[in-house]
Amino acid sequence: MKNKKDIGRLFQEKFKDFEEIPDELVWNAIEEKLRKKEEKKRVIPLWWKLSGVAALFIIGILLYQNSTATKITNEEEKIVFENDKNSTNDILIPEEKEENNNKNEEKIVFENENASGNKENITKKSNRSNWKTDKNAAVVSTKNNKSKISNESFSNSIREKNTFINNKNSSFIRNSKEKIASQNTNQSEKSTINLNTENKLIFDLDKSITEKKTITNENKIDSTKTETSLAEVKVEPNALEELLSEKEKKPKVEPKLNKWEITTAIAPVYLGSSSNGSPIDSQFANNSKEYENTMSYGVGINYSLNKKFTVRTGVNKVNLSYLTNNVEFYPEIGTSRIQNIKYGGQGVFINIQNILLEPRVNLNASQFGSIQQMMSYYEVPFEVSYRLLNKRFGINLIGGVSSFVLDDNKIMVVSDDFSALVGEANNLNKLHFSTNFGIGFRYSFFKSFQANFEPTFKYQLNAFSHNNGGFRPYFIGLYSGISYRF
Amino acid sequence: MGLDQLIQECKKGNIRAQEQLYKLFSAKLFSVCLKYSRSYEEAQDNLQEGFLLIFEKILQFNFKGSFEGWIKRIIINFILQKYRSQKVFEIVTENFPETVEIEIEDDDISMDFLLKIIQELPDKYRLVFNLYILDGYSHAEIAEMLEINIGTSKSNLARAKMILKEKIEKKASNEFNEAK
Repeated sequence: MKNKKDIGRLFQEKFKDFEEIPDELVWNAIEEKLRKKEEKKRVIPLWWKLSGVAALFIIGILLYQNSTATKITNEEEKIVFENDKNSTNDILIPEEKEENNNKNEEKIVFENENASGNKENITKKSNRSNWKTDKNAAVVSTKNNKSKISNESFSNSIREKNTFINNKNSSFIRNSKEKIASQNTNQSEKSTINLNTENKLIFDLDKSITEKKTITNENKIDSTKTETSLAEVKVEPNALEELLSEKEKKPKVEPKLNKWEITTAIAPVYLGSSSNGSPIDSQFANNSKEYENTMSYGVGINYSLNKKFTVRTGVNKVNLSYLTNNVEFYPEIGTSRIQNIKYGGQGVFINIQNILLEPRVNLNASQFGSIQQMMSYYEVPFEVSYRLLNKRFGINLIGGVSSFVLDDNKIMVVSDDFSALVGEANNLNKLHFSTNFGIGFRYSFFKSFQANFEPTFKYQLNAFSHNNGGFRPYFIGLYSGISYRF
Repeated sequence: MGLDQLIQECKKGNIRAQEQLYKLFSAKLFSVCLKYSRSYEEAQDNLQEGFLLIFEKILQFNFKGSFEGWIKRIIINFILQKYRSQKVFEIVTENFPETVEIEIEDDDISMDFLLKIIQELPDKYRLVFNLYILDGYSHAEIAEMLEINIGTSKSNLARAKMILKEKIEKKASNEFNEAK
């Protein structure tokens, strides 16, 4: 029998339990793609982990460098001795204490001429130490687990060599003192400190020491590690003495261990514009502008990334001011308001006009003079400096950006015997930026102090939010000041 | 392993669990693909890509609501967005009947044939027909899913029905003639 049925219902009924099993090849294709994705996912986290570990390692080294550099001042606290009976003459060799001794450890004290020069200083500072001296011994502490030193740590240590060679003496002393301190505290700690200090001491000796050479040195020392007595043991004195003499021949490099520097800077500021125009009103576009000399003062803080590069920031207060000449102004509540001025105070009653404009009105009451626009900012620069010359007298290139926060903003009219506040500019950005380029000259006159003179050109990018009238300001500051390294 | 546990394992990317899940739902989802695609081959491709998408999105499943409904929706949306780029503008002017009736012997019509003529429909008609008739969406919902307006949805449905009716009747009369 034929039934009349809504076609929709027909299909619904027919397809109600419709299911069909797909071909196997569909799953095969899915599985293959799933496996490929798994592979990818495994590889990526591995990379992240590796780079994360590498980053931590590098950070750790940098921090270690930093912290060790500043430890010099805390020498006395660091030295912890249990039996302070013995009087001291000079330092350099830690006296082995039996109860704290790792019997398998051997210590050899290394010393050179420079160290001896400082010996007196050191003596004074740590009278309570139990150090003995021995001129021709070398300190390279060894440990049982020397084998833990991997090539990786060696190559990283090589990179650190600059800081340590340049400040060999202090680091040497610090290293040794750390050893003493650690000896008396914790055996396990000792191993790590010694491990690191070993590396550093070795590279202390000479830049030119190759990896191989030091490893062989260490290995040789290692082989004699059953000794317990200190100091008098001379291991490879020839090789070490060789290094000693090489070291002495090298010119003394200015220590760059101090990475931080604070500076003060005062600068006369010369404002200018790369094109004529007026951000006050277009009628003044072609009026002559007179840029007034103003000042900037501030402080800065610099951090040396390495011998060549330093990053710098700080805070400055900078005042800018210029005149727009050949204007006349008169008291009148004029209908011609200047767009870019937000009138305030008496400003409402002052009408300003370019002298050269027609028609001229109210000749009797008008005064001839200038419009003075004043802007002051708090500036935060972010700059990088590149060291070109690095002696007592240094030269560097400086580049970067600054951000400016608007503080004071005034527009005034001035004439020979009269001045009045008109209002403020409404087209100045509260925050704007500049690109900076400069050359720095510095002279080290005393220890960690330097005198700086850094003429810098700062091109203002977006000082005006609108209607800058073709006025593109820049300023050159002759930043001079004193800086202190620490 | 219960379904929830199976889903958890799939979230972790366990391929064995994923295979199990596939075996559980592939027949149902393949039938969906067959209805919405233009051909058997295209349905296979859509099933494959659809499942890969499901295994990616399974992380977002919060065990709220029906899992089967959720994965079915994923597949349907996947197929729809493939066709969405095709702009078929319909100007709805004509009146169309709400119900299209057909005289039919129930046993005359085979599933294969019905499936075939559905697949032969122009895309927009086929999608609307499936969504409305076979999967129970409203015209408002369809309008949103296909980014067309409700009137278009209604007219597409009507046209789909007309075409299907013609084809069925044609086949029936052919068979009738052959039988003679």
